Amino acid sequence: MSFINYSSREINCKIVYYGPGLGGKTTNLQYIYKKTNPEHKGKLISLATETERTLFFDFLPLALGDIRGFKVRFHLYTVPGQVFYDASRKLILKGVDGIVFVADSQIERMEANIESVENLRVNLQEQGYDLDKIPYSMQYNKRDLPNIAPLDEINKVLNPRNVTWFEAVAPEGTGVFDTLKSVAKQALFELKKKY
Amino acid sequence: MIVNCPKCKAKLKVDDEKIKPDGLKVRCPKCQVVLLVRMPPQPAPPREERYAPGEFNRKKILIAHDGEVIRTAIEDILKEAGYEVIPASDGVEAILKIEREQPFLALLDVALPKIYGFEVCKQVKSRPETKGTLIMLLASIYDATRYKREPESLYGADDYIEKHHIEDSLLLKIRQLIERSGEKPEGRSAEKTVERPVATPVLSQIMKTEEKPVSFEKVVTRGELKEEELSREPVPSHICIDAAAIEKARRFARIIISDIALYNQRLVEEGIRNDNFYSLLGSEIHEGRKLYNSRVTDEIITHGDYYKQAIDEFIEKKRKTIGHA
Repeated sequence: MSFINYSSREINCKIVYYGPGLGGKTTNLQYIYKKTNPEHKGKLISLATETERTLFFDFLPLALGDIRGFKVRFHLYTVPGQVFYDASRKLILKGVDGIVFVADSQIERMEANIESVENLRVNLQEQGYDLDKIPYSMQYNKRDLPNIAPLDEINKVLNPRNVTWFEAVAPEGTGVFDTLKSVAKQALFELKKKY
Repeated sequence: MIVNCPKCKAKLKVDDEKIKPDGLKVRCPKCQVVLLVRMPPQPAPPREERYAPGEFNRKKILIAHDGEVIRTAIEDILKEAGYEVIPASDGVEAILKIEREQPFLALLDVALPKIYGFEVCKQVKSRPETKGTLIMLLASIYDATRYKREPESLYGADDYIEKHHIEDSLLLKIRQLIERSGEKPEGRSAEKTVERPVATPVLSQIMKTEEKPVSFEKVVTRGELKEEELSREPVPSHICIDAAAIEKARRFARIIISDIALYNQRLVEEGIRNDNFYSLLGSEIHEGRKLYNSRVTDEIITHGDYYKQAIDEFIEKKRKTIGHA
């Protein structure tokens, strides 16, 4: 749920990058951070423990315009993807306005992708959200690796609703901003309906 | 009929007349476990029509796809070529029919409902009694130059066929697969490759596959099947555990161990090389066990230790990869 900062005249919009462990969520965020105008972004904060890591930063893309005189500031989060850290994932999902699912395209991570999508649906439901209604984009990352699942298969398994999806090679930036733009557009559309 | 509760071993009396063809759900008054009771299977057919474990019916081909149109189209091609076709619309049905009917070949769609096709493939190939079943994946890749499948991307399947090539080259592919595996085929396609015109799907065939509730089926282990065959006596009762739930538990166990390995790569290699995997990764394995037990029902935990199985399979696989088999 977005919140409004009246003093700075900004609407804050929370986008969470979800997906299995070591699938490229952090790499996505790091790339976006690197390529964002320094004047319009906050610090890249890493909430890291010995075993899990959450990344966060916020930025204000000027090109998106405003909603009733309010700018939209995006807050991007990653979750720890390892199956063990479900409590952290639930916490980070609180107040979410849009989800990017970063799938690992490697065949051997197909099951981890499936589990993570199912886990996302359950965790959203617990907080009263519906994955079929929330702004949601899918990214098939690591498309440069040799042992990857064909797109039609991965899409049929992970994305039966066929939401907007992108191929990506996150370290090179391929597909990174396309995915972000897609989810941002959907989130803005929802915000405009609300305000 | 008297039924033994698999959990607390209590004997429950069930009225035969109340048992419908798809079974009757009964709650054990002692331990509250819900069982699905079915009538005993019909007496076994004569021996010559049955196939022992590992002995495949070289006329039978299983086709597993949730789309009726594509299933029917493939059935027509195969029947015309002299094969007997066993249809399956989801992963649970596919596994059970592969075990029971022993087809020599299974054509599997990757994204089957209930248990994914690639999981069916892994399961079939990992069981000694079914691993000889040839598996061909059904894929719909049109851009072959971009997505040429490498053998290691087939989840252990023997081959794959793109859906748009089914009409013109399925029989040829089957023949090639049989030749590669050194078997003698029995369908008429063995004699010559039938060139077929491309068939147009008939609109009346288009029927939406009904999503049925997950069926409760006992996962028959090979040992049990052997006993059934030897004794030729009907099983006294058919208490079933949801096969899809078991596969889900297995999958979850595999994911836990895969995640442990992903974040502890050095320790994993060391543990496998020095044969002390369990002690070296003791705390992670323990945490994994806790997580597994918290997510899996008591019924499934009682049914089998799929967590331990997943770890052992992982170690075995990894050992082969690092050359310590």
